[in-house]
Amino acid sequence: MNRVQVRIEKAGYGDLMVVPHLEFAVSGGELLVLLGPNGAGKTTSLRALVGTVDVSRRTLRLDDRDLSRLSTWQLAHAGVAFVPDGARCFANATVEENLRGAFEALRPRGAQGERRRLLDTVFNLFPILHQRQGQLAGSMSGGQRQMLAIARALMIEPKLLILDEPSAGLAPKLVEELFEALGRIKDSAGCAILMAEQNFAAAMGIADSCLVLDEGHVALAGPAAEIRHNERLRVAYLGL
Amino acid sequence: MTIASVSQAVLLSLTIAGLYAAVAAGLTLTVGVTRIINFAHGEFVMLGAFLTYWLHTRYALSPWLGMAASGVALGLFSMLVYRVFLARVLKQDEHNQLLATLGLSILLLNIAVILWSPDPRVMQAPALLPSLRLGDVSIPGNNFAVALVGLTLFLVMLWIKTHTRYGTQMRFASDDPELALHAGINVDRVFELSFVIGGAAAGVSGGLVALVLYVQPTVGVDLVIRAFAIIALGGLGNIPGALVGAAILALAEGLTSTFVPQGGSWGFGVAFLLLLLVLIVRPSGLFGKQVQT
Repeated sequence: MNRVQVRIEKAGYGDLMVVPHLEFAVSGGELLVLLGPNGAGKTTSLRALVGTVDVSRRTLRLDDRDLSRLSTWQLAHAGVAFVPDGARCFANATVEENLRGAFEALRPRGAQGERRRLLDTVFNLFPILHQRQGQLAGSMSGGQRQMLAIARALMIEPKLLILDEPSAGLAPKLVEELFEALGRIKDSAGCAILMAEQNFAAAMGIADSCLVLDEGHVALAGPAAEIRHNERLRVAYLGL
Repeated sequence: MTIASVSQAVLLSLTIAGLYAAVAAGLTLTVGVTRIINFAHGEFVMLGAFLTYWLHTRYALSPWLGMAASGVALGLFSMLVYRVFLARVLKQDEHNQLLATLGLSILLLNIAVILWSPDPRVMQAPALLPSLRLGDVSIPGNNFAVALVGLTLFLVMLWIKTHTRYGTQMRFASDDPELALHAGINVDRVFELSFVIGGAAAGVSGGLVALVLYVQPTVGVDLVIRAFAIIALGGLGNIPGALVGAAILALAEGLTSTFVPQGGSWGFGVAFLLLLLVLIVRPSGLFGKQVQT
């Protein structure tokens, strides 16, 4: 089913607490988008979830499994893939090495067939990566690196895919392409997707439900369809 | 200055380059992956030299086996150092790391002086290989062995980094440690592994030292300085670059001390003058990438 339940208490940086409390759930095949302006606590919430910022208490359940005590690298082995902001890739490795390395970090030797199948899936989603297999990741454009970053996360066949501002810094044409791909991942991969975004219009196009953060607090939560048409809330919290 | 004497000097320098390369190979793997500037690498080499020396003088163990034993012993020792000491310091400020490894270096050196006295020793080992004769030029067998082992060690380091799955993880962990965590890589263990491999390489290099240099507590000091110079010449973390750096350094040193009157004391200086010149022209080393921040 890939039902994910999350609870975060007091996430922040040292003495600076950014998100006092946050709770949500998301299921396989569903996309939950975290909206809100800069400094609302979106990135902090995601990083608290994957264990790279200080958090006083974190509860993370995936179906019947309790993942609360796992460290960042162990979460990847449990099927939680995180794509941090900034289109980060292993810059000094080629596209093919980025993808193969991500697969090999989790799988035993000799899973050639499975690797081939996953590679086919991501190349099908992002054909440009197939053409650029031998290129150093660091020498590609921002959009291509973002595609690689997402493809890398998909190489572990995640049950929960977490993306931090995937559209940041990309041209509108690329954002459209990227979100179209995310929509296809949602429909076909069966994983739950959690995404922080500032690009309201693009995010709402593929989101199933959304959660608006304002200064660390949940200002609004609900199905995307409702919020999309709620003029007052849009103006108040999103400035649209 | 005849052709024969020049070729003799060049070939001998190249065998010494093999020793420098061996010392630098382990260091560049460790520094390139973990960014720990390990000053104690020289003392790891020194311990390997003493171990090979004693195994030979007390137990008549062949230096070939001594080298291998030193590699294993120093690999294990590195694991101990990493676990009880460096893993903690790694989480601290970079300056603390520098001071920590410098402190460890001085500590090991002084323990060696107290336990074994500062006297230089010579390992009386039969030549491991027959000497190599090319016309008028002859290379002593042990120098030949040093060059061979040094080069092999180098190629092994390169192979680990480029052709094994641990190598890929090492490159990922050094590229972006946080992203490596997200990719499911146990970065702490990868750092430990690269430190242990670097330490094992230091141990084997120590065996080479025992073959061609005096075995004494201070032997690692000059070697580690040269190794850092070689890494700077070749570009940080660039293993093939370090090989070229080792050859340049050894040649500059060897040719100066052979052909400049009283050049023996000049060699070290000339080599580092060369390093300074290279770094003025190319701060990232001969083969290093320009760092973008």
